[in-house]
Formats: sequence, C-alpha cells, structure tokens
Amino acid sequence: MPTYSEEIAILAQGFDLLPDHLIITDKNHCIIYANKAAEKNTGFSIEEMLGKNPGDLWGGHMTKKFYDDMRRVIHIEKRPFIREIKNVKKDGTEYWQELHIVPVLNAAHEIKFFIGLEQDITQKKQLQKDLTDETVAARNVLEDLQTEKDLLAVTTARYEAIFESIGDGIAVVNKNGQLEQFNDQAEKILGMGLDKNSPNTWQSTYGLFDPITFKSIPEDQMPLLQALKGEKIVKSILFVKNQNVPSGKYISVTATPIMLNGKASGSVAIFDDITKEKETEKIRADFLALASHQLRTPLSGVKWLIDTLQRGTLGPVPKKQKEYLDHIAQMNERMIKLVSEMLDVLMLESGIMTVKKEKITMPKLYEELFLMMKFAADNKQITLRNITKNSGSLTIQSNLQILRSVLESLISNAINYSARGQEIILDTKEKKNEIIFSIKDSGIGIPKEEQKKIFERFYRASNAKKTNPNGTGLGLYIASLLAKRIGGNISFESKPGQGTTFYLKLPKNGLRAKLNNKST
Amino acid sequence: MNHILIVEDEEFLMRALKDNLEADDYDVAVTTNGEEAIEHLRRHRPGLILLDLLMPKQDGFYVLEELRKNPEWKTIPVVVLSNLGGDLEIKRALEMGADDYFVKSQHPIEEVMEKVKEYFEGKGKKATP
Repeated sequence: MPTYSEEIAILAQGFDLLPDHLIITDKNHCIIYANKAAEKNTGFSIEEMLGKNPGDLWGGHMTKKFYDDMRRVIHIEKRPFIREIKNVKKDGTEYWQELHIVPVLNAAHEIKFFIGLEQDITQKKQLQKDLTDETVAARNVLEDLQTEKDLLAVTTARYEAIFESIGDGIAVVNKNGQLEQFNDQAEKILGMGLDKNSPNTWQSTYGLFDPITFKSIPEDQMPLLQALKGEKIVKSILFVKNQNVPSGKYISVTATPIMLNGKASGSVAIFDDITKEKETEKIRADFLALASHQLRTPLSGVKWLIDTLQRGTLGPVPKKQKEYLDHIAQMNERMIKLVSEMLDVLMLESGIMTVKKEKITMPKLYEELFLMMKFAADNKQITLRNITKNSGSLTIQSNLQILRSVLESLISNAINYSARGQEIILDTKEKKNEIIFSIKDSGIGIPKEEQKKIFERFYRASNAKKTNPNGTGLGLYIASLLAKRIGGNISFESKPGQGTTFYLKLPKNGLRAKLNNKST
Repeated sequence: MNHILIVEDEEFLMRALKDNLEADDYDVAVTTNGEEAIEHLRRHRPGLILLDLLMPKQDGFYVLEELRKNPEWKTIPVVVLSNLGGDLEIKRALEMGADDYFVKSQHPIEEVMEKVKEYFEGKGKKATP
C-alpha cells in the first residue's frame, strides 16, 4: 500500500467511491495516486501503476496529433484537455473513454500535478455506431425510394404521353364501374366529356346503341363493364348518337380488365371512329350485291331457256340435241355455282365487321338443316340421321346463318361424295367450353397425299373430280373462312374408299375470348 | 280462269316463263315494270302474280306495297322470282307480303312450275280466279 500524506489519504477514501477512473500524476506524468475504479478500468494494480506513465500502461494508442494537441493544451495553455481516447487494458481489450486531464497550478501558475479522469463511453460509442449504421441504412432506403419514385415518375410520364397522343379514344373505369379517365380523343369521338356517375347514366349521356338494331345497349352489354368482370372484349361495334353527335357514329371498342393480384381493379377501353370504314363497307356490300345480281341474271336466263327446251315445251327434242342441251346446262350450273362462291369469298375476304350472335338451340338448328338438305339427300336416296343425345338441352351462342352455312356445306359434300342409298350420321358433342359437330359419311374419302390441300382455294381431290365434275373447289375454303369468322375451326378424319368424318369445333360462348377463365 | 300476271323486265326470262305456263294451259299476261303491272291490275285480276324485284320505272317492292294497300288485291298470291339473293332482300319481300321467293339462278324452272300448280290447286293461299 502506498503511503500518502494524511490529507490525500482522507481524500483517497472519497476518490475510491467514484465510479470513474481517477489518477493523479506529478508534473512529469508519473502516477502518484490511482483510485479503485482506475484499477478496475485498466486492469493494472496500484503497485503496477505507481511511478509509471499512463502512456506506458493503458494509453499511448492515439495519433501523434492527439498527443501534440494534449501537450499544447495542458502544458502550454495550462487548461483542461477533454477528448475521447481509446485505451488498452492490461489483458489487451480496447475500450473508449472520455479523458479529462486537468493541470493543477500553484500560486506561481506553475504545474504541480495533473488530475486524470476517465469516463467510460464504450456504451455511448456503441450507441453512436448503431445510430450511424441506422442512419446509413435509412439513407439507403430513402435513396432506393427516390430511385423508385423517379422510375415511377418516368413511367407515369410515359403513360400520360401515350394516353394523350394515341389516336384512339381511351376510357378507364374503376372497380365500381365508374368512369375515371378519358383522354382528349375519347371526348372528341363521343362528343361528351367524362360522366363520373354510375354506369346507368351512360346511356342518357352518350347515347350508345346496337349498330344493327339501333336499340339501346343494356348496361350488362357495355364492353367496359363486361371487361370489369374479367372478359376481354375485342372490336365490339357500337353506334353513338347524342346531342353533340347528331348524325351518329360507329365506333369499334376493345376493352380489357386491369388485373391486380388476380382480380379486376378496373378496366380500360380503347375505341376509334369507324364510320368511314362502315360506309366503305356498305358501298362495297352494295356493289357486291349488285354485281352478283348482274352476273346471275344472264346465267339464270340460260338456265331457264335450256330448261324450257329440255322439258319439251317447244316441242320434242331429238336425242343428240338433248345430250348437247344437258352439257350446256351442266356448264351453266358450274358457272352459277362459281359466281356464287366467288362472291362469297370476296365478301368474306373483305372482312365483314359485325357478326351478330344469338342463342341457338340444337333442335331448331337441325330442323332447319334437314329442311334444306332433304331434297338433295332424297335425290340420291341418302338418309340423314341425327344421333345427338340430349339435343334439347344443348345451346350455343353464335351466328345462326353462318353456322348453318358451314354445316350445310359439309353435309352437301357428304351427300355429293356418298353413293346412292348410303347413310350420313350427324352428331353433336358438348365439351367444357366447346361444342363439336360431326358429319360422318361412308363415301369416297380423301386420298392421304391430298388431305393437306383440300381447304385450299379451288383445290379438288382427284377422286372428287371424278365423282362430281361440277365442283368449284371453293366449298371447303369458304366453309373454313366462315368457321373462323365465328371463332371455330374445321378438321376431319378420312379413309379413302371408306368415308370421311368432318368436325366443326365452336366455342360455346360465341365470339369472345375469356381472360381469367381458370378451367381453360 | 287461270290468269297469271308476269312482271319481269328481262326478255328471255319472261319468254321462258310465258312459254312454259302457256304449255300448261295457263293464261299469261306480261308486264315489264312495276308501273305497267299496277296498270294491268286495274283492268284484270290475275289468280297469281310472278314478280321480279329489280326493274326500271317502279320495282317489285313498289308493286308489293301497292298490292298490300289495296284490299281487293291483298289476297292475290305473289311469288317473287329474283336474282337478289341476300337475306335482307328476301326478308323484306316476305315481310311486304310476298308469299314465296325463288332465287332464279338456284332453281330449275320446273320448280317454279310446280309451285304455280300448288297455288292453283289450293295448297295454302289459294289463287282465286
């Protein structure tokens, strides 16, 4: 135990109660006293400390500048030096302290002692480090957010530019079916601005009608609202007429749901004014109708004149002359059929814009088919047999005229290429999303090498030409175009000499494709 | 009285119809446009009218309209013989009072003859003398 003077010994008792490290050195920094906390702090005992310099024990680990500053402050300026210092304990552990070195001066302003107080700031330092780390992390997050925000701004600006510059009208509804946004073109086309009320005011605001019947469109058939339910509507045609569009306009609308997390959170429709195209289409259709009439007139004239001769109306016809008349009649029939089918192709290839669809029941369809085909079938004593099960419950949403046309074409082929007295079997099968019509004959079949080509324009299979020389080669081509027009397709299976089965596959719900239909 | 009125502007078609009908002992009158047809009707009442649609001066639709308006003429059966094959035209003619519609190029004259026979022999709407 060191021996202190009496005053110091009394003070020392108090100093030992301090939690902070306290040492006293002489003016040369030799330790003459250290409290218990100093021992604990540094790991050195008082005996090890006495007479030594702190710099040799736990200190001396800072930069030269640190000690230069310290010397200047305590020796020259003779003021307290307070700074954070990193020390090393006897066992090698590093620790941070807040160091206070206070010079003690005598009356002559000379340094007698130094008091060294150190407060543990390791925890404080750790907190500081944690705070810095957190600040850095927060700053990173902020930077990321800013980047995202900038990206979003760019994307938004891009969409706004597209929205405004696109030549079509765009309309957006929210999940409640209320209109939220129009671009300028939308307002221009519809003649009216954004009607934010619920959809039941759309009819009175904009005047939306069926393009064929001109009846008001019911709410559940508005493309934007149908899209909201998940259906994608493509090129639906509407007629718009209101006080700002007094003569009316035809518009073509495509509507898509806006999907968010698997649900429709709104829908967007793009539409454009097709009045001009409609007019062109009408002119073309009128022209084709007139052309077909003009072409048919001389052909039907020849037909009836020959009929008249052949019937014997103008007197008996000698055999050789009858033969010639038969040939002329046959050629004429070929012309009639060719004209008819070429006009069909022209109409189909020019693209009819509206294909009206309706609910078709199987019994009605088959009744009409049988009526049409009976004459031709009876002529060859061919039986048409319908083996559809549960016909009464089957319905399909499609265009009756086109559907009938396709089936008639297929049945007509079956009759033409079957032998006398044979049977043709018609069937209808219902699948999950489609209906498959099949027409099965036991006729001449289609040679394997030619099967790929029978849908081509004007193509006639070699055996078909022999059986039915008057065919035009357009029948299946037209049927396939028609089938496509109503969203379906035609396929077949055939064994030459044994027969052919033709299939017409149609989607049950008509012309529209469903988006989020989980069953497909 | 088996009087038939033909309203047809194409000469050889009209000839074919006339020759065949006369061979079957019908009494046939011929007019070549709607105006003439109505004129004829004012003076003679046919048992049946064979009517073309596209004609100069007044067309077949005009004739149908006039027939419908007159209670005396309303009951005369009308068979439209036309090469207008569109569904719209067929529908329109039938809605305006035509009783039958043949697209000429699609039917042999035989079928027309049979249809005429049907009307005179009382199937459905009767051709009243």
